[in-house]
Amino acid sequence: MKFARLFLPILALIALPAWADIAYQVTIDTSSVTGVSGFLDMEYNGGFPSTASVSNFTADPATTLSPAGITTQGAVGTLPGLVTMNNNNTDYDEGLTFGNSISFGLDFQGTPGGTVGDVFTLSFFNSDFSGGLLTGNNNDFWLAQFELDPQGNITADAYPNPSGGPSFATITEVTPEPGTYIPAIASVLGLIAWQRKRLNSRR
Amino acid sequence: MTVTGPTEGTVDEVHATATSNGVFYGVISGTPKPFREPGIALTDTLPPGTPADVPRWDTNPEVIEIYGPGQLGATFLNATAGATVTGLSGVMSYFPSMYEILPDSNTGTVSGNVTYTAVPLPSGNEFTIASTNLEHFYNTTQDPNGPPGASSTNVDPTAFAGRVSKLSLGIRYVLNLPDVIGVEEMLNLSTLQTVAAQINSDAQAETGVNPGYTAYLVEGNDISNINVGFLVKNTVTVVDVTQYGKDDTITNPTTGSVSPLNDRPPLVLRAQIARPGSNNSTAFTVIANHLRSLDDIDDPTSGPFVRLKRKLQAEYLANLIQARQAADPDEKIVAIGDFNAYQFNDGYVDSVGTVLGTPAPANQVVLSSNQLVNPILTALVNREDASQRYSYSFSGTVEELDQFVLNDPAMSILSRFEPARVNADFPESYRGDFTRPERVSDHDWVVGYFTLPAAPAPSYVNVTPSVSITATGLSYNRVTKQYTGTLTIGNTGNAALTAPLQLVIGNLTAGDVLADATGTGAAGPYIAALANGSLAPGASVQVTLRITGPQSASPAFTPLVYSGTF
Repeated sequence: MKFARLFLPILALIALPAWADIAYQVTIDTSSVTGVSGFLDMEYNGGFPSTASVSNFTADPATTLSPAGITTQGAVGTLPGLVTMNNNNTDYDEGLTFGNSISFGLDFQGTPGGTVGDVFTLSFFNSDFSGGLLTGNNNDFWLAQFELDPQGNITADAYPNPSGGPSFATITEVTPEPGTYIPAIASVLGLIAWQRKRLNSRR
Repeated sequence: MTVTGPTEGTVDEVHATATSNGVFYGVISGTPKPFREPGIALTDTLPPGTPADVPRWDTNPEVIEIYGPGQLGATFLNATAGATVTGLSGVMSYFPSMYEILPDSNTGTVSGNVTYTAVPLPSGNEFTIASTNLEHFYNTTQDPNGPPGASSTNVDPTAFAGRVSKLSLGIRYVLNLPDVIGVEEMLNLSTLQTVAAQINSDAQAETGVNPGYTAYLVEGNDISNINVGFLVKNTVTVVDVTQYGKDDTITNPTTGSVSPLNDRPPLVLRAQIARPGSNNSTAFTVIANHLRSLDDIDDPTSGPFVRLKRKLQAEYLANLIQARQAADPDEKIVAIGDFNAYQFNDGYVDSVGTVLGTPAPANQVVLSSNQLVNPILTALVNREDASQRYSYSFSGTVEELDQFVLNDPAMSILSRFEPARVNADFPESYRGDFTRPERVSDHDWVVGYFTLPAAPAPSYVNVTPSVSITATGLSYNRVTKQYTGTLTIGNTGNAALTAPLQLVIGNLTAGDVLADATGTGAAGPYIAALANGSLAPGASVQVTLRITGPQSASPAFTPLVYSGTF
């Protein structure tokens, strides 16, 4: 009985949907707007608890980030460092002057469920936020969108370029580095410790 | 005395003003208002060959002209129709064909001048059609597209702007923004578009609601560059606007010369209208007209041509209407405008009778017509209270020149008919006052009220318990200021759900707006999720959701699914 109480939560964690830790490598060809000033915009919002982490942000030397031009709503950290966003209508905007390319890793962690999914969108806007850049999606101006549904599926879409041709964004699902398991393992261990303490306190 | 014809004046079209000449008309108080009656005036010389039974009109000898400038030093009185003049003394005369008084200096007091009388607001189940003669509504420059030899007055730009504003007052305050406005004597389309823009702008600024008038006008043959057109409100769906009879001709019986029959050819508007939120519309047709005037009808030289032109124009319109109702007996036809003809036989030509299909017998009119229209039509003036049967004032006698003629299908939806007292009863000197609507023209306006078709009875059922609704997150866009996401409706029941299916966004966060709403139903704004067919068990349908709201707070709502129409 004790065994069951101890390990059932662990089994439950193991049984989490597959994208409980799924990572993508996102690369954007910005050469068509080299020298243009604009904004990078990331939005994360949805129904079940989850986190998106943007890491390993790199850009070619011609790309200039503008730390002074950062606007965030609930995001933690700043580029090119780690930026963590929960899904509570979180927003991260940063001004930049485009060079030739940008890339970063995008990692989702969470517990799918309920009826409302999450969505992460990546957009680039012009300098006065009157229109989008690098995308042919003229309704919403997204360049890339990640839909996380309540069943645990993630759909990643890269929108065509403004001429209707191949997207300037390339999205590749990657296997998480071993280091990224550390938080999950720590969580499991923490849960075990909490259960043991709980069992002991009932004695 | 009681004034029956307001103080006249000298009109300055360039500056859109008028100067009073002190001439007005009245009757001894207590005498009935003098109306035009059937027949040829007793003062006219009958044309050769006039049938013996042609009616004669006594010219209303009870009308007295007050001729202000008749004596040196007289002060002109400005009087509206219906006002009372007391203490007036002067020299009485009889000229020309009418009793007149040449007032002594500083005599006469006017009391009881009236202001405009607006038509009633339509009820929620009515729509309205108005007829408006706008008397030489010219612009600051000549019309480049007018017929050869045509010309108009170039109005001073400030005066033009003032007259447009004055007309806007009339359309908004006196006519209460009709759904369709037939206009006569408009220079061209761009001028009518200027009027539409002014009305829309003024209404928006005053009420926050833009009536969305759109101008329609097709130019004709008039050498004074006046044309008929329409202003159509955004409550109306226009099917088409077509001009008829521009190329028809008439041969002058005296000179043999050939010229266009229709100076202002009939303009036919086909349209549809429904109650707000209803998809049950009614189709109707409005024909805007401006027929040949009565000028020179008794002239020994030009009279024969004038009378023939009036007869042939009336017959052209009668045939146009008859062809339409023969082709489609259900077409609701409303012929409006300045017919320049009374609702009865004037003894020369029975224009309105010809259009109605009830022409005067050949022994009662100089130029008779055959019956061309069957089923016959109805002139709404005959349904008015007798005291209101006028739209124009001529030398103190009032008369109805502006007609509303309906066929039986149109009569089936007629609700009422109302005159707008805004021009005929008011002094010319009001013309230059751009802060009041009166006397922007010389004709009063008339408005027909028609019943809108009933909205279909709501028929819907909440099927939310039989579906699953899942959603993506809502992503905010800083350009559009909208949250966008997708809702998926899945049929979890055992039976198909019949379309139309409506996704209702209930309890939406206060201040947020469903930007892509199809409409608003019983439980809130909704989006049509499935228009046709049905949603089989296990099947699903996706709906894009766009909500305008602040970036600081993600919208909250309760999604519901209904089967049926709201």
